[in-house]
Amino acid sequence: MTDREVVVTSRGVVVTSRGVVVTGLGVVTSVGHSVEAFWRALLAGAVGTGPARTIDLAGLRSDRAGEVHGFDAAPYFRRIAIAGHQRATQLAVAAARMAVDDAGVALDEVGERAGIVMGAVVANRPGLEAPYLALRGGAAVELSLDNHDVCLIAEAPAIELGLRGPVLVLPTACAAGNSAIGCAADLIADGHADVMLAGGVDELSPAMFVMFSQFDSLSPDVLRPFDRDRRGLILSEGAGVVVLESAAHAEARGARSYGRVAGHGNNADAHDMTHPHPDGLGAEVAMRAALSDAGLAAEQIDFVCAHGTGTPANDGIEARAIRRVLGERADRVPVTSIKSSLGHSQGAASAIEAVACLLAMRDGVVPPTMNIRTLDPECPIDVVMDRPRAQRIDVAVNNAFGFGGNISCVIFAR
Amino acid sequence: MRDLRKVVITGLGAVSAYGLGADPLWRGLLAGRSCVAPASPTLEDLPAIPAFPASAIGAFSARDVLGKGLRGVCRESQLLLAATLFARRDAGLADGAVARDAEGVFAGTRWAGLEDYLHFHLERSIWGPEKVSPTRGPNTGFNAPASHVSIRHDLQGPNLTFASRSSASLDAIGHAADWIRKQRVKIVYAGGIESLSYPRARHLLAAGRPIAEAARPFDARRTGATPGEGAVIVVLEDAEHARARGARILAEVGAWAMAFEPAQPDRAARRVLRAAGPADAIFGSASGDRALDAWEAAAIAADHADVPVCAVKGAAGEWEGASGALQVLAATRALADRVVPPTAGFERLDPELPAIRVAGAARPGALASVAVVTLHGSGRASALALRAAP
Repeated sequence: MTDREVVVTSRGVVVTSRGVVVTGLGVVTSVGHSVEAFWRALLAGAVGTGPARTIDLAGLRSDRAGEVHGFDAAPYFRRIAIAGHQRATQLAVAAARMAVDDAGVALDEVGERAGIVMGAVVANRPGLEAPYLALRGGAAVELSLDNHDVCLIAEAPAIELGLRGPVLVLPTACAAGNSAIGCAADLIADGHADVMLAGGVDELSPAMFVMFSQFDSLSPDVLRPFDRDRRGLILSEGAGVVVLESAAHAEARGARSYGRVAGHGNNADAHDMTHPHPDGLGAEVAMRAALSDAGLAAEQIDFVCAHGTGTPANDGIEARAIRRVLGERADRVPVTSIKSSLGHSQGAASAIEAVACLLAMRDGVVPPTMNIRTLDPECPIDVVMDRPRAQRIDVAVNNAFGFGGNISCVIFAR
Repeated sequence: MRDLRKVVITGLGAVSAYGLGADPLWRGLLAGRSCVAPASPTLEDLPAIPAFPASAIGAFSARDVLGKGLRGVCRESQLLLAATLFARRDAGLADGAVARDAEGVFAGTRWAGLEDYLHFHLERSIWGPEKVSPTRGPNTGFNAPASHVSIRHDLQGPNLTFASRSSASLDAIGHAADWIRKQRVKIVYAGGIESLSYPRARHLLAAGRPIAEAARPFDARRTGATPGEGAVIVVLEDAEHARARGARILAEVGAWAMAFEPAQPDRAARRVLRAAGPADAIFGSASGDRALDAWEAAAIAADHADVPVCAVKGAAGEWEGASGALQVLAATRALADRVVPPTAGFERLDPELPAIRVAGAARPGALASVAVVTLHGSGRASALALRAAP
């Protein structure tokens, strides 16, 4: 990734470094509706989950959710109308607009060379639940899927922002945000675009709460990653988007960089639709593939932003996979799961965690994992608990695992 | 600088209204024969939908094709599993023949999981959360078909699902080829799955557009698309890997391009066709839809007016997320068998469209390269170039 290359830009012929850098960030989360509010809340140990107010969870094993309260997406819709757009589309447009404003990039000038890749689990589907129930009740309801096409989470931001290049959606379960970032970085590296937005989004889905309740994977109080007595996850909603640019494009316009996408690995656990491989094989393979793609060694990892869902199944397996990759350095390489603060925002989760990785690199501080009472001895890693830890970070690993065995690991580097 | 390898197609698999495997589908396309019959998808406890003409997969016995172990595997996943099985056989690949992390699966779909999602929700409302079928949950996601393929065939390489409307499976194939070129993986089973589900049928009714009994792409008398369903898997393989194991090479994969022009779909199609490069035939997206066909005709006329065009949706119907893979299957067989299939239903070019070369009969002859283009009224277009086997 240190190769020099000759690039023709609007400023003429430039000799520059190859690679993909991150130049803008945007998030909407249960602990903050802007990047700085989110980051302050994480460092302060805020917990954004609690009894659900916007969704009926009666009869389930938990009444907890990580809701985004009091957020108005309308100001982010400057060109297109917000009317008719489902909540997931609205959150996606808001986070995308936020990231572009942060990057200060004039997208209309890039147009055909700019695009977006978004990930999601359910995206716009929850809005179909009520009409289908009404249909069953005998109502004559219009059941067009026009506003429920998952593509709108990428197409609406694309229209809003003037992106006319690759516009893709990767619904790869809870690994979707990372999958999207990896795909977008590839599209730049492969010459399909110079600027790509990438991220993930999801709104709360009653059906998903039912599914995790059935699997007895919902925590009754708070989400406790790596805790000995962890009971499960808490579903949340939100969006995270990053702006990626070729290093050449970013340099040519004098953009500030949060870091580069050094590499990524995408693998299937190839084991079971819901249970991770008992040895975390897929997770380990993906971390090693990402290191290989980045041309980095495990010894260079400074920080692991864990998938850390707080479910009995995930955390021990993930911790052991991390330990196998880090070796004895696992005793001192900080690991955190910000899902303890946000809840598990599904397709958005790893995109929001990517933003946390980049801010951790910028500020030299690892946000804490909250809610741990007793660290699980079966999780032999260095979890940053309760308070942030100051630490220089040059290489951050972001893990994401999903149902179906979808695994995506992205590495960011200074 | 990494050495970019060539990517070839070494196998094809499909399940469609024409039957099991790529061969019956290809024979149907080559004969310009459609398999349209009245369809009325159902969903437990919901009102019946009046029958409409569709290219639907009839009786499909997953057990006969796939054997045991199908509990908790939804129909969409079964169809993609079957297409994968046929494609692996066609490519001469057995389980375990390649390192498990050197094989991946990329699938395109527009609506996968939606029927199971709604069914899951309705079951909860009817019977309560404790009585919902617990195996249905993981099938509610778009990623279920590709994930079931990775699990059943023990593919530990990349596992991605694309949902870019009618470009979804073309994008899956295009991106998979890029993964192989970077030498991250040797083989990717790439393709698409779309089923004729109850919510999709409801949507067609709600949209109020006419549904054609016989689709007539580009024809003056066209009235609309015929909905269809199917699963297609294309075996993409590193060319050196394929040669080393003595595989039969059907075609080589060329450039992939995407464009988004929300107000001008024709412009999007023109951009991607240009990026795909010179072509001896175009495998188009035209379905018999009045607007879609006109946009595509305008794009083809701009730079490719003399190139023969084949619209396979005239025979096979509109497969939405799986249609790109259907078009790639046809284009691959056209290169290998040296013949461009006819556009079924086409008799006379709509005089309101610009002059392009569509034919109602098959055109035999060697082809050096072809372009596959997918287009949607949202302004989304993708293209993929394929070349004859070296």
